[in-house]
Amino acid sequence: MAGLKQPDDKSHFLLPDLGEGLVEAELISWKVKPGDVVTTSSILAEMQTDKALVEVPSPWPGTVSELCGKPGEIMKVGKPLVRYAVSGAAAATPAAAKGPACVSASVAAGVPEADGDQGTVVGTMSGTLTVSDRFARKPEHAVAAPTRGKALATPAVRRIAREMGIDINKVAGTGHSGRVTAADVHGFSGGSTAPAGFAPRAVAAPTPLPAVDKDGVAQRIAFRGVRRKIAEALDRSVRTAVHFTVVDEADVTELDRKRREYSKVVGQKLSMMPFIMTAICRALRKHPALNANVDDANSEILIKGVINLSIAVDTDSGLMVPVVRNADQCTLVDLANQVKVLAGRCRDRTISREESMGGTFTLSNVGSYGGMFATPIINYPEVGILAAGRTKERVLVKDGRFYAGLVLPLSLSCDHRVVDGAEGARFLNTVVGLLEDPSSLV
Amino acid sequence: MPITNALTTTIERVSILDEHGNFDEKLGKGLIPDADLLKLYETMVTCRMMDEVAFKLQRSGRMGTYPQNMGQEANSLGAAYALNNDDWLVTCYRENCGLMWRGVPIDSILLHWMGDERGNAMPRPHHATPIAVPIGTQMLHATGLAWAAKYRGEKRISCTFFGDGATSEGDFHEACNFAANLDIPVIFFCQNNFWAISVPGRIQCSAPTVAQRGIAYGMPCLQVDGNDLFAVVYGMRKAIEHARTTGKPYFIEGVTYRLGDHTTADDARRYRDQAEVDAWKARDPITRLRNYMTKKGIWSDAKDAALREAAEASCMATIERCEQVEPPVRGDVFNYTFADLPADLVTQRETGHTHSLGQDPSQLPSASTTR
Amino acid sequence: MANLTLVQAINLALIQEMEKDDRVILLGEDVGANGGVFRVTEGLQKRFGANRVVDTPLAESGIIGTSIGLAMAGLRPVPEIQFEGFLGPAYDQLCSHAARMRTRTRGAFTVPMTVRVPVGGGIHAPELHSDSPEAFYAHQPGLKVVMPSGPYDAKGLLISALRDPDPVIFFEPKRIYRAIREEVPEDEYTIPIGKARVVCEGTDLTVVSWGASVIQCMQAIEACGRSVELIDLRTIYPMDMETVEASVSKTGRCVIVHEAPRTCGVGSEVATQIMEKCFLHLEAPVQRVTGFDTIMPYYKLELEYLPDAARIQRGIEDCLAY
Repeated sequence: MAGLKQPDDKSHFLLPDLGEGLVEAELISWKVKPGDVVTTSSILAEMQTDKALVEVPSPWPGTVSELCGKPGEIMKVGKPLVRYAVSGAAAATPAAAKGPACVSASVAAGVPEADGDQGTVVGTMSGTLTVSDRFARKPEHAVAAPTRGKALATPAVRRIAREMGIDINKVAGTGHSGRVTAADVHGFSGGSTAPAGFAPRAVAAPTPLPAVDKDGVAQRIAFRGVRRKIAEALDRSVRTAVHFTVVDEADVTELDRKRREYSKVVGQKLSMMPFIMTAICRALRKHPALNANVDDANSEILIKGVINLSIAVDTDSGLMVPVVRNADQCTLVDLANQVKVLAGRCRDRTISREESMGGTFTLSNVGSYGGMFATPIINYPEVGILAAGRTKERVLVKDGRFYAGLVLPLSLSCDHRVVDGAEGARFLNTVVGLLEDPSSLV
Repeated sequence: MPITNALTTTIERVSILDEHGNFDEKLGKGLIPDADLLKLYETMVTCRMMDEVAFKLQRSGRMGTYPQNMGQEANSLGAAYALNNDDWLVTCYRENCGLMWRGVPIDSILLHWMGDERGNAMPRPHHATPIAVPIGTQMLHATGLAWAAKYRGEKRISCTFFGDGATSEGDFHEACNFAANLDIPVIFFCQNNFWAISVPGRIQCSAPTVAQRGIAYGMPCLQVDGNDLFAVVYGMRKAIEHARTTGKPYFIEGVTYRLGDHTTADDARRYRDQAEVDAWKARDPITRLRNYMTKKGIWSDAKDAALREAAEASCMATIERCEQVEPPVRGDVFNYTFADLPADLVTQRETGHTHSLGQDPSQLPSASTTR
Repeated sequence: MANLTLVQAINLALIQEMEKDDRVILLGEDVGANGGVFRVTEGLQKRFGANRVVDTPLAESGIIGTSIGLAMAGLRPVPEIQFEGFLGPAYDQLCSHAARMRTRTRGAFTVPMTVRVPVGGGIHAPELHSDSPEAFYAHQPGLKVVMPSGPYDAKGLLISALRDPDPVIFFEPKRIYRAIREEVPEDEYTIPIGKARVVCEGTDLTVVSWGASVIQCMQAIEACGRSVELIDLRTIYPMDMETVEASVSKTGRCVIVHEAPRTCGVGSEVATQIMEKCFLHLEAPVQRVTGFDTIMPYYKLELEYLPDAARIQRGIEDCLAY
């Protein structure tokens, strides 16, 4: 066959083209075995081509060292059929022959074509390459339609998913032509979808969660359910509202006296709470900017005409915030009673969702457990929260005179996107003023 | 041993009707019948008139840059007259007169300079190639065209025109070399008009003649007075006979002068003397021929005036026609890039955009049909 | 059916087309009596005569310019430029005339010419015999640019080029002139200009290449052991982006391989079109494994310059790891 060159060292015999333009033949049976000495009249094997049953003779005398196929196998033209023992060497696999799967750029026996003409006036042409079957030509057809299961997304969105440790292919795409948007990715991480049209600040994407050391664990508590929901709400608030806190103290010595008097009059022990709530309501009327909800989805600040005070209630599942509606229209006793009822409902989980909605400002009475000042977290989407700390007896000064008085610490957090620092401070000042002058309160 | 001559040669120069009106009867008798002479003269006058009209048009903003042929009419006209109508005319851009004689509509020439490719869509029967802008590159095409004719066993030859400047380009040499060595019947006609824009001929060719360039290729060479229509015809007939009978090339130099600027974008007063121009005006081929015909009794001032009037009218009509031509369609920019447009070009043509979102607006969220 | 080298396949294509169409003429330096410096036109002058297989003077602009004239007259000239490094002098005729004649004359004159040019490195040749200038000509509107990667494609593409009504530059990768054999049918067949070939299918990454680099890509794909789809462009202009787009939309990753230098190589065009057409499917930046932005070195260093299987494999693996 034109071009098929057998190796000069006769280390192996490449199957030649047995017919006209054949590429392969089926090995029917071997007529020799390793170790046999053969001559040019010895038959090596019987092979079946698509034209005939053919006997393949040995091309040269030698000793057979290895048979390169099994009966029934399809042997390729140009591939080794039989190996011979090369003189002086053991019948080892010659290094030159490689497996059929490889494309090798080895020099073909290093011998140029018979007439010595390399076919080029400059440079050298050498080497033969065989192409693995993997790349064998197949009838050309249209490329298979792309398999789905892979998300469509811009590189920018893919980055967000990667940073959040999310497999983007698991996120449903709500964008144009089904693409996964940044909002889709963020929504996927929180379990709740972000509001439609809301574009969260993609810059603040957290890094993937670190692994936690399990050593020394005394108790494992499932972080799920109500606690998880509360945690998520707090998380959202901190991430969305820009918190700033202003603190102050109110001299409630006089107010405390009033409180005790009032309690005797109504026949019910009143805490500071209803008084503080009243002060807040009055102050909110004077500073309406703090009596608002922020609607980020529509980029609106909703200044409310009603005053619904959210009251922070501590439960064994965490913080709950029921709402006292129209708190500015309630009497002190009303306020006290409502708070008591709502707190009870929180603790025994009979509180309804509606009873926790619609708040316009929050009061958190942390003082009942301890602590002076705090950095309360806004009850989003409200824009302000006041934390009242523990009242303490202290030595106070007034007009140069010392006296023993009662001090109530107050911490006000506001959403700085909506409330200016000055506005917040002014509000707190008003509250303090009202608390220090009880006659204006009741 | 004595030094011998490897080669001795001379360059002949032909002049039959000189600027003073002297006519060499021996060479010129019967060369051009009177009837043909009148038609040839008419063509020269029309060509000259076209130049003047085009110049005015350019100056009034109705035409782009235009190169005048003024003073060089006899070269290409004489050649076209001598050649067969199916011999290839491979011109550069100062051969309007020859093209007109061949029957190429003036409209075609004007449309080219008016910025419309359709001016180049000359019908094949004219066997004239389009105006060639890159200097000196068309001579190789002439060689190929003549080669094809020879390959087919046709008697057709090529005649290619170029200026003295073009003889400096490498392609000139390669074309002469190919034609001479492969025996291709090309007539290389150099219009030596002494100026390549502002660069005088002596910088292009320091030899006494341009014609002798041909010696290097073993071609027969001849110099003729390019402002003498008779000399041009005489020289061309020699060249044609040589090319057609031997199948080999011939080199002919027609000495003339570029009376106008290089183009309407040029001002020759910047680099040449008016005295030189005036001297050559006296050798104007049209004047020379008119005087000869008048003296011979076949022409008159009255006839000349009438001809000029008619020529002007026909030139103006041509201009009007050209200006009425419907503007070309944008699609033509694409449609003639290839015989079969690749899909990408079809998209560019159909959408009028190259940016991918413009080509495929469906990728945009708020796809709008009118943009 | 015979197993032919690239040289033999091209020779066969020329013989068959010249027998069929007597408008086809070959011309160039050493193509006649010598059969071409790579023996591609071996035996053709003897078979068809010296007026159909013509030894020209040593002048590349002359060869292309006269071919343009032959083509304008209606013949089908096949000029050969002996090495891609010598295309320079012919650039003007190719870009100022061959590419423009149809549009300049609105179809009155056309140039159905096929320019054959050996291209690429890897044969230990002197300077200016190893370059890859396909980008220069792909950038010229009006020219078609073709580069087969093996004997089967070469025969089919050359016949298509010879029959194409417009000028085609047919680049022949000299590194594989004799290095591979493929079954090449004797019967007439054509491969359309402008159609790529999917050499092997895969799911994880697409490799796009052409010319001798396709063989290096095959080696690299075998070595990396991943599911890689290999596309042989076969035609540089007009490029088959449909096939590339379908593939990269499926795999999401792409490595482009070419010998020519990186900056403004054809790879930049492929990468940009992938970016435009597969933007939402891309999982990694498109990678280009190419020659460096230096002059092609003399042969002692040429294998350092050319993108080899190892460098391609690294490109594939890095792209997969992104």
